[in-house]
Amino acid sequence: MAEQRNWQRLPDRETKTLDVGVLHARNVTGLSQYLISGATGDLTSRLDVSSEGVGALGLASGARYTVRLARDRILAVSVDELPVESGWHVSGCAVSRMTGALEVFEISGTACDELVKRGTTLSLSGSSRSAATLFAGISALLYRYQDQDRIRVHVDRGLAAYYWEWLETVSAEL
Amino acid sequence: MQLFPCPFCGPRSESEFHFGGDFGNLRPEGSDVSASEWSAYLHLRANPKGSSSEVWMHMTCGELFRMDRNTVDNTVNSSAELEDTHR
Repeated sequence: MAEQRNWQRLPDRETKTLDVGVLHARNVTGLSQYLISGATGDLTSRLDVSSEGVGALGLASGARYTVRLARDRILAVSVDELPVESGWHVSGCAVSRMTGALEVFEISGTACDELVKRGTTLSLSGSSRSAATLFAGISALLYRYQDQDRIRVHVDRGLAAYYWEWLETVSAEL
Repeated sequence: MQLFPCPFCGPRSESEFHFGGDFGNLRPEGSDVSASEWSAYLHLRANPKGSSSEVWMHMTCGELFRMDRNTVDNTVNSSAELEDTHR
């Protein structure tokens, strides 16, 4: 029998969860995501979100917030649609919808920091200005959400099945 | 693991960075660039022993920056965002 070399299918996004006592993971659905590049100040003021955005292991909260990716780029995340058009804005920035491009996972529990230790090289004692980092070997956005024992991870949608499988494997060892 | 200082993000693992060549190796401009100048730009590298100024990219945030480091003991002396003339 040929060796199985394919990644498993991504579990049902609406219902599948991972629970090992010290760690609980689920797929966050229904979030709208917008990549804002360039001079972001005017647009973030209009949307009433932070122009700085949270960095790696920084704390985000609320139904609408921003995540810092680079010196001139942030990701706006919202539970509802933002009143903003895709494309170039005369205020000096460009907006791209990322809702379908990035899968969002929320992981909570007392072993959250242990998971971050296993998946990244970030220092837990400080925060980094950009939330973009390597997590489990792939590019991801990583920040805390609502409290210190809850993180959110955004990964490329095409790598979401791999990331979920990595979560299942590592969480079984915690 | 070695930590490199991204001017924007701060210390990150070396695995997040990509080497971009010698700092100051500027592309020759103009129509009268000789073959030897092009060859030097494309192929000749300083490869110094000791202090070295290099261009690096932090792949996760996209920051392009100059890093001064020692190629013998791998200590990093400084890092700074590139000015437009060196991009």
